[in-house]
Amino acid sequence: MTSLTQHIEALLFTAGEAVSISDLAQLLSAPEQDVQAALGELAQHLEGHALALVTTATHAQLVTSGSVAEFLAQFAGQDGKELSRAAMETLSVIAYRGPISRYDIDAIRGVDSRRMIRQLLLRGLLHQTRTAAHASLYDISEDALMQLGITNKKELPQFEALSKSEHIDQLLNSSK
Amino acid sequence: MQSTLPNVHIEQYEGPYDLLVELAKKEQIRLSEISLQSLTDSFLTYIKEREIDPEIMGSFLVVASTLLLIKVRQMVPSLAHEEEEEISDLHHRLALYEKFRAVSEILAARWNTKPLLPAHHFAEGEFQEPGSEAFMPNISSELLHDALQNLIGRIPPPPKPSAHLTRRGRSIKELFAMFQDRLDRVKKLIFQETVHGSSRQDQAVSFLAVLEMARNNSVRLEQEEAFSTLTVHKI
Repeated sequence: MTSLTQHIEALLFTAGEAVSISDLAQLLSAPEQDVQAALGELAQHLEGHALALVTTATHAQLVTSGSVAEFLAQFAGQDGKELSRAAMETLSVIAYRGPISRYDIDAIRGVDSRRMIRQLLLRGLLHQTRTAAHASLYDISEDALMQLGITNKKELPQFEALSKSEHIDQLLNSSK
Repeated sequence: MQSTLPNVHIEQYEGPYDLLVELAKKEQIRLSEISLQSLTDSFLTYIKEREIDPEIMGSFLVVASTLLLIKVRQMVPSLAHEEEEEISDLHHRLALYEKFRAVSEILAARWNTKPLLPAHHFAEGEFQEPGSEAFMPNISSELLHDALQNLIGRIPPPPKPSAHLTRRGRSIKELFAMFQDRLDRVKKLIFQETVHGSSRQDQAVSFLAVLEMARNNSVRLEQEEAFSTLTVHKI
């Protein structure tokens, strides 16, 4: 492991929660690109360990790995954090298509999703990126990935087919 | 009127696409441009009969208009080429929606079953126990003593024991009979005048009796505005 990777691991461990990649870059005085590469190395290094690295486009967090999830679940108890069908549908659209605008979420679901997005944001299941020029963009958060038991959205079922479909892009563009 | 969708157990559809997919499932048809029109009636019935959140009503109407368009086209074949795009667009959107709906069901089944856990997951629960330091800011015995004194001071004195027993009020049956009897003679009476002078309890029971009579359609009630004179008409 490079020292950058080690330092990232140390920071993530001591932080104990999700840290944004831009914060890591700043703390380590390294370009974000190098941080991303180091995160990749760390994720690989952790394979076979009880710890894993959850990553989204903007954040990283050290968590327990899927291999011990069942073992730990017996101590965790059910905390009743169920999601309604509409909320799960909205989260799915965002997980596969994020970063995505509300406009596109509505276009896929065929219905106004404002309330669902608000709910998901309040529960920390989404990241919201505000840009000056465009509408807010939404993406799935580490917390949501962790609840799904995966470390990256690429592990979602049929991720490639649903995230990078020209057909979907065309359809979304046609409604603009 | 009872709904024409008796077998669908979903309390509320999340949107027009959701409704169409469920309708197609129920009628066991595959969604296609042609089959869509057979769902038009059920779709319209649903949005007519249910109270749909106004925030999402618009999206139901957009789909309803496209469905109607498909139906019109079938009935007037000369219009067959009109708005072709809009119709195939709806069909494509539904197909796409179905894909996301399917994966969302997979994700729902997975949700929170084997979560990956963050650091301190278990410790957090312990810290939130009431009785930990955060919940006991600078408590001293003086403070508790004062708080208790303050509380005792706010307890109202116990009421003086009453010497007499409460009179048993008249039953709803008795008052019902009384009203019926009077109405047989006078055909109409003013409620307030009739109960004037009786106990509060009797007044309340009288009111219940009159309501019961109105429910039976044996009287008609008339009142200009809240708290004004209530006239009881025999029917």
